[in-house]
Amino acid sequence: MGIAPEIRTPQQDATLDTTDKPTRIRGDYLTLRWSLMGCLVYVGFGLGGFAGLAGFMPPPAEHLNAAGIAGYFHDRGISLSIGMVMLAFGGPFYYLWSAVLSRIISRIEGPMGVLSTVELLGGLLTAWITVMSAIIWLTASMRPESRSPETIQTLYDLGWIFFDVTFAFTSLQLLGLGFAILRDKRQAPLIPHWVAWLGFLTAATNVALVLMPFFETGPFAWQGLISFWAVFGLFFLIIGVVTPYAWKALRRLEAEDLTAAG
Amino acid sequence: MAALTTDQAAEPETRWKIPGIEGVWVLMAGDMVIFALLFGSFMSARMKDPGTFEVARHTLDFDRGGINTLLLLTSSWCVAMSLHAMRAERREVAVRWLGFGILGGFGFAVSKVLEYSAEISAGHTAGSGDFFMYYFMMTGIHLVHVLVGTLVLSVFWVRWRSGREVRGLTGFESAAVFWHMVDLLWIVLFPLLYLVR
Repeated sequence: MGIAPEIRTPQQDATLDTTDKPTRIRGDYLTLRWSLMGCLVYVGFGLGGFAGLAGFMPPPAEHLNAAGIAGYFHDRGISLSIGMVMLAFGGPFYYLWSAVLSRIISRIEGPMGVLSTVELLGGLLTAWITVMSAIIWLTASMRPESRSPETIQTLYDLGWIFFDVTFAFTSLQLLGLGFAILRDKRQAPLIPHWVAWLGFLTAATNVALVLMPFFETGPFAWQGLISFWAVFGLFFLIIGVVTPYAWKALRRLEAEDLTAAG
Repeated sequence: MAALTTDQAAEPETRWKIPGIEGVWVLMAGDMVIFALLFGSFMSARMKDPGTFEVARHTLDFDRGGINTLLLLTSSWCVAMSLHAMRAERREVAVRWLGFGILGGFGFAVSKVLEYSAEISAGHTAGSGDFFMYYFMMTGIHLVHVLVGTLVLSVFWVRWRSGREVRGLTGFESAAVFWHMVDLLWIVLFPLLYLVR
């Protein structure tokens, strides 16, 4: 017996293929559905930590001086730290969601299609940006009694620059998703074509974040109407719109695969 | 032709169809909401400091603003005429109208760049207070829309002029609708920045 892997003959494999195929297909799609729901963890822990416990809704303003920002971190204390731990925990679940979209896209494009990879990598990097920003803000919130206000301000600035100026990863992910949706030539597309245009709008709105380092007040500051409310509002809107359609797409693809398997 | 006949059979002629690609309307609706947020934000900032905004407004070139408005309105009209001609299967006429429409877009862009250059030479930049931040950012974002629109219209112009077969007008309708939105946004931007006292 031991720990050696079970070796099957090609004949045994062929038998397994025909008898267990529907079971395997159902298993695959069950995993895909669970992974898609990863977005609930991302949004729940992300918003709970970022907005709820850290109180970054809106965040302390870009024009605040070092004492103002350090004061906020001192006042918020442990709840800000817990909020950032939650954000860092929730971040990676975004790539689970993206991995499912990547699989759906791979069914739309051909085997050499690059959009599914763009979707997956964009998701992974967006998750990484979320986690890294949370870690930087968490560092700023630790040992507040021994950190100078200038250090806290520098870390806080760094977190925001990391969070905002890296928008191109997410925009490319959304462009990949949008072009894939438009390439779907089924009579009833897996995801409606208008969703692609909502993705393009979100990707284009993100570009406003390039202005963030240059304006400490107004709509383009990191707490501003465009750079914060419009950009993040659209980001969560696209997650909320895509997820139910992706769920339905999985059901259709599962039915197609089960029919093909006999 | 056969496909067209089948489509017509499926959809009664009385049924109204939104011009262009549906999704482009979603994009434009969102775009207009974002501009509306900017307009509201500008008005709110103006109410807090009307004196400074009024002084800054007087440094703008009203005549150039008016000329730009005329350029965009005329360009929009030319694009509408082009679509009209295309629907009547008068391709050469459509190409000519579209060419004039594109020239209007280029004219607007060149005029805007000259205006920016004059403002910057006078020492006004996006960092010279709230009014100029809004002025440069809102007109700058609008200019990006003008450039995108001009580029898209130019693609249609090149394709039509090359004599390539035209498969439906949905794509061009979308471009034309987008171009009208660019026009509409300027019609709000112009009075907001240049005229409102």
